[in-house]
Amino acid sequence: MNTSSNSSLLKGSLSVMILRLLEDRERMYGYEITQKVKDLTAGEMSITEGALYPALHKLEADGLLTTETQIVDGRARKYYSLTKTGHTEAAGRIAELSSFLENLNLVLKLKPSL
Amino acid sequence: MLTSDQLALLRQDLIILASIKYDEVTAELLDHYASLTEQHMANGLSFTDASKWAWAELGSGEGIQQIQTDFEKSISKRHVAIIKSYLGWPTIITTGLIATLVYVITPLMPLNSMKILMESFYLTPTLIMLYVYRTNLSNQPDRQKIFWLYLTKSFSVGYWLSFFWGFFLNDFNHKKSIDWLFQFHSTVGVFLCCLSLAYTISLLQLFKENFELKMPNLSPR
Repeated sequence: MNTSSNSSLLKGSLSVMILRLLEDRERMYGYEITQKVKDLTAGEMSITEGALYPALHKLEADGLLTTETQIVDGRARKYYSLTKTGHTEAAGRIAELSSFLENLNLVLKLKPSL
Repeated sequence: MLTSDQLALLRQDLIILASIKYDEVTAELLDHYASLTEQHMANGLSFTDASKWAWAELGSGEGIQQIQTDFEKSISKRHVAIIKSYLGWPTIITTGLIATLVYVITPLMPLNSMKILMESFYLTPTLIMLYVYRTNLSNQPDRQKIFWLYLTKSFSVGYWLSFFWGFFLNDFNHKKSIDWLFQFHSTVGVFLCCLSLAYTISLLQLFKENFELKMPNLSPR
């Protein structure tokens, strides 16, 4: 997939992807999130650090994520997890994006009119 | 796993090459930088080569600085949210009641006692800020940066207004015979002071939420 078009498509859905991943796992740290996305998409999609951390900080400032820091391998590691509001918001945003993608798919698969 | 010397070198890259000035941002990026470096080392690269690849993947400076800019924005956004949460009906009613109480008791109290009381009240936000500075901010360079940033930007307007109102205009009210002026002055002063106090408390909450991280000592031996 083309990287620049990939990143512009990612822009609007990055926060939903983060919320979905954290819904699945109790807590994750930044590097883990980037690797998980890479693994799930077999390397087709990658989140840049410049996009990931601002998105995480914004979700945290909005009260959807909470953080805890632990010392792992001699360095501080910041784990993100969903707050109660985050869980509710995640479900809503995922449903919204899924519905949008279904509709988008209908338009993209439009058969030429006879 | 990287050694403490190797971690210190990566940390220096972030601080010197990317000008990262906040401990919280440095800590988060260091973990990412170190994880990427470890991944490349696991594929057989030396630490030097692995860290070069990792640095390029991280965005080589410019991309990293953007993370810091966004961090500052998110802190400001959170602070605005805290202040908004304080401006509910309980705060407005309490402030109104205190201001009304001052308006009522001002004519009943001797001038000097009233002035001492008011000046103590005006000093309260300053004393709280000094306490915060002494207990939380000394030896914490990045917290101090945020502290001064706020003090010079947003905090100054409301705070200095109440401060000047309280001290410099006091001379204007030497003659207590002008009761209404003295009452008006004290009431507005207390009102402004309550707002400054709310602002000070919001800063306390912001510091508590965002700056509890204690960095491990990673300097090279």
